[in-house]
Amino acid sequence: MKRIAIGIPVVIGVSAVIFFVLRVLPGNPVDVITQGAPTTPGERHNLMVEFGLNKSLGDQFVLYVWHALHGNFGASFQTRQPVMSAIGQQTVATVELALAAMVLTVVFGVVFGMLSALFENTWVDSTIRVVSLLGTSMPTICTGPILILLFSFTFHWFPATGSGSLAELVLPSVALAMVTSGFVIQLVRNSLLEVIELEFVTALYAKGLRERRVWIAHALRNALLPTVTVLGVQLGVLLSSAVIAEQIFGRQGLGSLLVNGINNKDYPMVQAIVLLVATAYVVINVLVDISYAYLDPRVRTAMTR
Amino acid sequence: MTLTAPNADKVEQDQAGNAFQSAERSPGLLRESSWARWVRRPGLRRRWFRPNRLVLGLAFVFLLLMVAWALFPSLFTSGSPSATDPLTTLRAPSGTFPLGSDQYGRSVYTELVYGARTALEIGFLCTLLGGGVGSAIGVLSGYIGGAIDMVVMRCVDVLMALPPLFLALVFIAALAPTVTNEIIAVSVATIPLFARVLRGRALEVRSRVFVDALTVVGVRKRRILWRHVIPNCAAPGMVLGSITIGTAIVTGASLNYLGLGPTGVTSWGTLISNGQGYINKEWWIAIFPGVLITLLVLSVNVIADWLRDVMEPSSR
Repeated sequence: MKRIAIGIPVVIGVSAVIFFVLRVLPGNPVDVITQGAPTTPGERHNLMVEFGLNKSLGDQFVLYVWHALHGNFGASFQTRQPVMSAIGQQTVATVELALAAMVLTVVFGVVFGMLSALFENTWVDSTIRVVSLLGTSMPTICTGPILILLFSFTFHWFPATGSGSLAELVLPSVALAMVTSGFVIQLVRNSLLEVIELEFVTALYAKGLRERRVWIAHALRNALLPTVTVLGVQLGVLLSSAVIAEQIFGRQGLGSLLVNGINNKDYPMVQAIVLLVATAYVVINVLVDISYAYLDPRVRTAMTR
Repeated sequence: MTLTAPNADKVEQDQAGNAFQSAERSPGLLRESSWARWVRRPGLRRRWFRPNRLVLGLAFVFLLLMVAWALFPSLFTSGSPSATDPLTTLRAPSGTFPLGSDQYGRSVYTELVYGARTALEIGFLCTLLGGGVGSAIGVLSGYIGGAIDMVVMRCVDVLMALPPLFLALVFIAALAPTVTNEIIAVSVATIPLFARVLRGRALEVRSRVFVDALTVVGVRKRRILWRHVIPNCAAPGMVLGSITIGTAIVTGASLNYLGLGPTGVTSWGTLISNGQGYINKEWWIAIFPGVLITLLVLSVNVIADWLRDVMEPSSR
């Protein structure tokens, strides 16, 4: 409960930061919208009134928060349509991509982390470590084109661009997972190696359990605890890379909407998308904290006390 | 993102020769199945990757080369990164165009050389600027403590709720697309992490006995801050800074890739987005800048790793 209570002011704070950064810093959206077309001061004034930019900053913010609480994030400066309807359509695509990448991250992390730990200091371990290091150092803008070149144009396995079918989801989610899973692999590996040295593992062996069962049923379970926390943080990396991956792989989603919004100084659009992402990030990290308590009995008892 | 293998020192021990029989060392491996024992044969226990001297040396050489590109691009290429030529578009790598040419007839190699400045500028300036401001906020907040600390840290929490790229995007959205503004945006994105990490460090230093001792002896707070707290925070600050250089380079390149960076500046990110439409046949336009970014980030990270081992031996 306490965790949720902390999350709410953070989200409010984020909305304030986005709002004031956009409005206080120089740059006038009216200039961008009327770009190229000759305008009279009257027309410009009308636009300012339409966008509510003529009111004082304080009033604008109060109005913004008031509307936002009612689920209304304003109309786009560009299309004059409510931003929420535009965002709503695109969110599904982005969530799909982020989820797929998250699943891949967990699978890669657990499988390769475990292999790496099992074969500690062998060539298997070293290969996994080098590749995961490479993955974390390679930004999405580099992996994206390489994956496209290799798997769509050379081997013709997956389509390069587009969104909709499952095959089109493969390359972008792999590109995203490459960035995030390296870290998870390392964490799983290291915490497995730590857990496996603990006394209870010796007890399990002494009890006569098979090695496979000790590793999977007992050691892995314990080793995954710290991983859960990291996954929440990695989601932030994943969300920002998703914006880029969507551009690279020509996918629908919040990415293109956001980039367009920024280029056109479409404040309501940018505000709504960034706030949405931040809220999702905060909510998921709160959930991670809560789930942690359920996964780890020690934390649970500490909390109820 | 840390790149150390925290087990590296363990491997080092093995290397030193005191035990290839770590099976005996760790009780968990008392009952190894035969296949596990097979892969643990001493002969196979060799180290593949660890920032050893060779890798570290290569990283330094590469970074120096990039710095040289950034400082004196004209020494490395005779061409101009902006001169377009309709007659030489989309040439494959050859003698005249070592890494091919793009759709405007510019040499990709020349563009890469000139793009190094953009990448390093963002990497180093943003780390200095954002890291400096962030560290100042963190150290002061941690040292002063009390209500100020609480308020500052709540603000940092708020900024931390945005992934760094998004924080930079908000500033990019508000500001005009110029080099300075891009640097400001990326710098701001690095502030929260520095503030949080260094605040923790400052708190820890402040709670040490020697600080109490200094206070008892009558040393003024300001002097303790300058002479004792800040020097003690310098090492973690520099380690974090060296890691941040890599992230800042990536953030900057990503912004340029998205077309949100300054116009008319040669950058690797822009080159990738230019080359994307040609990736099927003229792959060299988009792939080479990507490889360069990766190598640069990798070398910076390897150096950062080494720096951590040197500056904070306890964290190994």
